[in-house]
Amino acid sequence: MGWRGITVAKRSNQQWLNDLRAEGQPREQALADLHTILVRGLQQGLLHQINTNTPEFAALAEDFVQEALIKILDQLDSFAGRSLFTTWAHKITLHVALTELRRKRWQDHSLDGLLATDEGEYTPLLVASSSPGPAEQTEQADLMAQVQQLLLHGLTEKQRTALIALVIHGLSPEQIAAEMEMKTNAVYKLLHDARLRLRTLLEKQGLTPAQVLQAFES
Amino acid sequence: MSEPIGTDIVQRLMRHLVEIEAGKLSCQDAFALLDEYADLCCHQKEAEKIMPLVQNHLHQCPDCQAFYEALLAILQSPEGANND
Repeated sequence: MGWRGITVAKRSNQQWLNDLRAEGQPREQALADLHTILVRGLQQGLLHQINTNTPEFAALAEDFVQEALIKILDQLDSFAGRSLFTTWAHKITLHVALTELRRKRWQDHSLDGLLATDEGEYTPLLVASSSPGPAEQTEQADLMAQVQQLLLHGLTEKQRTALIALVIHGLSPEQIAAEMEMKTNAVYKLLHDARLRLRTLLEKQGLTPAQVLQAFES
Repeated sequence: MSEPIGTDIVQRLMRHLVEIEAGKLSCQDAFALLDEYADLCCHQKEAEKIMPLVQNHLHQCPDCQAFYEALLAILQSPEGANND
């Protein structure tokens, strides 16, 4: 890859901020260096997500880094200096890349598909747990049926879509707002109402979220 | 939508409700602190003692844990430390 072997000057946090806020050559050089650092970082960070040794990856990484650089420059004033600047920049870039990869999967499959049990439609990164016994399996199946009914019939479609987008797909309220063509404040309200409604519905069944969770984790 | 919702989805929704109720760090809160936490880990400092809420969230949230591990993979690579 073209960017391999390029030497990048090290900078302190303040030097990064100064150079990126400067005009002309210092800014251009800092942007070029940061670009190189972030592309190299993505190759490591996405190793378990996609094949990072293909020509296609270079184009994909370029897109992710360009988008991340825009965010980084936009959010420069919010960098508090509690971490290394490059760590903060890597975090933003990795988030952009994973969100885009996740969004692509989300767009490729309908919500119905995600909720369906078709194998491979949605593969969570849950830690494997030990297999429950027959009694626990029955209890879990009953609880599952109960909670499923609440989710499918107790929440509005908008509430369900927003909550699943937030919790399952990791989208931010801003991203959900864009996807659902709503204002961000309305999404916050929608999520609040969805949580409240779900908790209330569980209570009516004599359940709490912790009890349901415990039944699946026991 | 008559198809059943998977166990993993129910578990994660319930965990989300529990965390919100308990005032634990949300994924967004944890994300905001993750670069600092990762740097502490990379510099042999006791991140779990300095930032226990982040560690607790990572232990309970597989997605954030996966993100954190990807970030660590970047930082621990030979090309990861490009900051004085």
